[in-house]
Amino acid sequence: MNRYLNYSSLTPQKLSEKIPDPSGFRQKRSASSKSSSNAATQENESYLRSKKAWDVAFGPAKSLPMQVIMCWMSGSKVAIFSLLMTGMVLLSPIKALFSFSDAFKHLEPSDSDLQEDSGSTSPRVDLTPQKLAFICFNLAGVLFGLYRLTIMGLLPTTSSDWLSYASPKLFSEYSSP
Amino acid sequence: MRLSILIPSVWVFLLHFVVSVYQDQVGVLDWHKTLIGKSKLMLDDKLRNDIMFSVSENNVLAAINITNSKLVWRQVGQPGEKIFDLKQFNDKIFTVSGDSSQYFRMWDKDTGLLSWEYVNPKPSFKAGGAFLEYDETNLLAAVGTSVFRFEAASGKLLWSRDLSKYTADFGRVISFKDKVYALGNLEGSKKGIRVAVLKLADGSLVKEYNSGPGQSLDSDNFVILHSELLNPYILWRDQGNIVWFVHKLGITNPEFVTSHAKLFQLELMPPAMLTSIIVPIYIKGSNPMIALLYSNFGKGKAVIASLSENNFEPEFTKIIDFEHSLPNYGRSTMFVSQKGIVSSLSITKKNYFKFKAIDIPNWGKILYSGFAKFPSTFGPGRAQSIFTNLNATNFVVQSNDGQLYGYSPSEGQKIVEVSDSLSPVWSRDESLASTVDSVFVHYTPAKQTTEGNIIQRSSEFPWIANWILRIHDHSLSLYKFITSKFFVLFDNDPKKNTTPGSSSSNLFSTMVVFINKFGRVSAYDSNTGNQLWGVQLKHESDDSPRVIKRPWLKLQKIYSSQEHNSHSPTIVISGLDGEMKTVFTTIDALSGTIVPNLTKNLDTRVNKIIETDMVDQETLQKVYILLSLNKGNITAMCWPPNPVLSSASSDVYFNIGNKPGSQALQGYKATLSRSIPTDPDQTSSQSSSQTQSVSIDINKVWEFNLSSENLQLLTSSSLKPNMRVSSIGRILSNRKVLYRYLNPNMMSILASSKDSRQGLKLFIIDRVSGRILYSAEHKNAYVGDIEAKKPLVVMYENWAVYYFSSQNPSLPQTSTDDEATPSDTAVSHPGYTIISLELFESDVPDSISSKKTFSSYDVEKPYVLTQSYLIPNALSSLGVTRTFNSISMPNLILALRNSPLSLVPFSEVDPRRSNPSLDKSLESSYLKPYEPSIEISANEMISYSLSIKGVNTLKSTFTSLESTTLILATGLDVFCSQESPSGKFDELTPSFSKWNLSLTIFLLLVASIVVAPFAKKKVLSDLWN
Repeated sequence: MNRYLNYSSLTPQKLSEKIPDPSGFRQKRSASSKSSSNAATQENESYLRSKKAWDVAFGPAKSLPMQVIMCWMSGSKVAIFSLLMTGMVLLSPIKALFSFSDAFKHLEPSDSDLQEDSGSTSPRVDLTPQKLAFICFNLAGVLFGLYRLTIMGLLPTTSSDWLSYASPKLFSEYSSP
Repeated sequence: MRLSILIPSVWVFLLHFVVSVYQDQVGVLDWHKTLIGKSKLMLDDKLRNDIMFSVSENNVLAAINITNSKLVWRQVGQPGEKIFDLKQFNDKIFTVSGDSSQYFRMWDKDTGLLSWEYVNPKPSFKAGGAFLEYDETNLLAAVGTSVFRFEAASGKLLWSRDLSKYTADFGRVISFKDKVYALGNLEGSKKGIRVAVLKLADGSLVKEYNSGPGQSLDSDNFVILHSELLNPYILWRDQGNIVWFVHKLGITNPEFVTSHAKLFQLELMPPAMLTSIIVPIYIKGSNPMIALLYSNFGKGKAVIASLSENNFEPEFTKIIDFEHSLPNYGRSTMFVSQKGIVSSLSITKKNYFKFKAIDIPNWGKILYSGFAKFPSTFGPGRAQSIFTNLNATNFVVQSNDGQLYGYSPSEGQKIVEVSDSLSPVWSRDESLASTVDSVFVHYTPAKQTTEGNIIQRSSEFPWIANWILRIHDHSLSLYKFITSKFFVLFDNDPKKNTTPGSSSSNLFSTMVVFINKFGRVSAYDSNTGNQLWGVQLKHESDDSPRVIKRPWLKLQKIYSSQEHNSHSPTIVISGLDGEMKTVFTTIDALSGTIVPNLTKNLDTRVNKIIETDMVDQETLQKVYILLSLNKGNITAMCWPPNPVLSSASSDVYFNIGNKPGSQALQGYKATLSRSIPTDPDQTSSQSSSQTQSVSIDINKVWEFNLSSENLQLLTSSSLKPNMRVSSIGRILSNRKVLYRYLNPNMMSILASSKDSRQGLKLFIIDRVSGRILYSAEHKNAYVGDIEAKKPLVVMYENWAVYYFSSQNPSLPQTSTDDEATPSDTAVSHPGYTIISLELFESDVPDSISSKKTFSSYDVEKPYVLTQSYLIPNALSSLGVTRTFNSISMPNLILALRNSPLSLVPFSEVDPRRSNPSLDKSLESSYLKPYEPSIEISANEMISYSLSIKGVNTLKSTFTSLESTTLILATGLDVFCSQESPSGKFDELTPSFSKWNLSLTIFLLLVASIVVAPFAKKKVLSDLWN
């Protein structure tokens, strides 16, 4: 006796086959469906993927003005709020850069989608400009964070930061008072 | 598990870098000694039997309780002022003193408060005298070239007579009937006594004439005999003459010639006649008296005779004769109280002395007599002077080095024959008031605490050895702590204190060694002020048959001659013997014993001692170059003699002429070369020290002639060689760096015109090359002969601070830099001014010389920033705090007159304090804006409410704690204090508990070990789930 229930009849695929589409509804899952307008759908999807990717790329740029304003409001003195703000400004783009591959992963067709023998109709989408933009905007965020650190005096960029490591001169003559 | 081992390991490892002690382990905060100095004049109180008034060589007027040695009150004269005489008027004390002015002051004898004062703005540095008229209504005073008459009660000046047209310095005055007799020393080549006779009523001059040819007022062979019963006389004996001359004052001629036989009714051999001295005795209501101190077949004797007139001729009647000191010991062996009791001190060999009190008005009745062994409480010395109170119930013996010993031989007026050696009932050590020089000696104490060990070792051993020793020390400490806690359960003795950090320990391991002008060397614990040892350096043994006035070495300089981390630190002292030849003495600083093989009479006089950075490899002593200057020739030798040097050749630069009054400075280079003699007779078995010899080659490098501008040097300050500097630059507001001009060869000198009392010049000179790095002139500065207003300068790292007083409205200070155009626009304000200046490599921030080695012959000139500030009072001394690595901010130490000793951080006088004239790019955000006057807060007054007087030298040294510095003030009083100029950043507060910290870390460690398996199990379960 089989102890497991079979829910396969409740899968969306199965339901969609039984329930007719409402009027005006355009079948999205073109890859799985065998619609006649396959080429148009592919073009539309690549456009959508590209558009979504630009949205992702512009994400850091959109938040940057707000961060600038908040940093300006928190001041440039070394205090808890300004430090927290600067830390956020600096760490957010760095985190984003480290998770760069994840940010665009869901916008790129998977390898299985691209296999022709499986009958996939997903197009190849070139997201390189978006990725470059994403990197640039995040780098801008990092630069702004570094600028914040600089104006707060937390970066060892001046000669005074290295003064304690400077070795004193040797004296070539000895004189006694 | 790895972390649980790693973290404690890191913690234990970091322990090595942590050196901290509790605040109460650092020792007492400060100690001081209130002193008066060696007494030169004593006066008994004619209204009280327990008080004596003293005028000391340090010009302190003091009232001492003779029964218990307590200081009742004291008044300290201004620097340079000399108190010439004192007299008692009812319940007041009248003093005559002088420096650049003449002072007549009346003090309340019970409180020391000033009753009235009269100042005559004329200089008087030599002599002065006071005389209370016989009716005790008015006072006469003679000082300088003037004679004054005051109403004693009110201080009203009745008249004054200026005798300036006579070339004499008047120092005695007496009156008889309607005449005043002023006596002075003739000035110029003709030595003698000048007598001026004035009318008592108005001071008009009656006559003046010379008398006492060849005599002076202070001569032991000259006395003034006076009383209300007889016209005053003077009596003297010429040097090398056996006859006495007697002259009745007011009568130009004749002078009576008389002999010992006629004077004292005794026959003396010519040698005894030639060595005898006389002492005047005045007893109210009696005829004038005189005491003759003479030698009778090697024994000291004294005879007292009374003066009367017979047919208008002087006649002397012998009253009493008795055993006394030899005349070589001077007049101070006899003292006459205001009641007429004569006290006699008979100094014998082997530190014994006899004493005697004779009541002259009571027919020479002997009140008591006896003998005493001179105590050696503070080291060897000999009795020199005796003083008694009014009824002579107590007497005080003063030693030759200023110690006072109080004796109480009798009660009431009983005649006492003291058969046993009398012991003093009290003593006062005044030797530190005569300090000539002092030095800090850092040493390793024999007994140490754990913390003391740690601090000392940190500089001696490598870190790994320190770490192991430290673990050992802490384990031992833990064991002791546990056992003490365990036993305390059974022992409820409240006296035992086992609180950590409560035990007093000698963490700093520093002693202060003083040398004084009486040949005394004494060491004091810098923490507690307790005397550790004392040595008297003599050039004449106690067994010598001769009696000489200065048996001790005239000590000049003291140096710490072995490094502080050595277990046997030594000090070396230079002094002059009786023939003014230099004796070098080396003393073991721990025990105070003289090191015989490093003590030597050099048979020549050393004029200058150069401390080098070399060490004799054989004796481990610092090498000194000793210079003898003789008519332009310089002879050099080494100390220790023939040292073993590690390097083949070394150059040492030094200067000659940097002393006050000098008009020329010279720079020299001494080259010490190690050479091996090629004597074929020397065998190879000889040690290297015997085969090596050191030759010194002296070459003149430069000369700076101040006389070309008619200048003379006032004072100078030099940087110490091998200075440690924590930072090579100053951080500016824009976070750039202004690099400091760190030249250890710099010297600041202050000079003034020889003919003018105004105008001061500062020169900063490179001691090696002789280049003038900076100079400035202050035309409004006062540079006269008032000691209290003398300019001062101190130099440290790359800055200098100098002080002067100015009386006129401010004049611009001008930089006279010989190459650069005047750049300073700062104005020195009238009043008490200090100018601070700081030298930088360049005026451009972040500009630094690329050279790794500094040479004084580099042509770059420093950029100098300067600023002037006002201080609230005159300065008597100026110093700077020092710490081991100069991490703590250096502080100026100010000895302000009539104010406590104060510390002023350098940031308070920093020339870069923002002001309109300062380049904005050179400002620092951590400096306050410029204010012309320096306010000293109560926290900066390190001697708080203590009365520290007469400070003329301020020294500072490092301690084992970087935050803490030791400050020593000497002069009259001695004050030693521990200060933390930048806060106590390396001291633990009492609330900090090492045990709590250790326990917490231990519990955390245990907890981490216990919970580790649980955490591991949880992580595994999560993974499975």
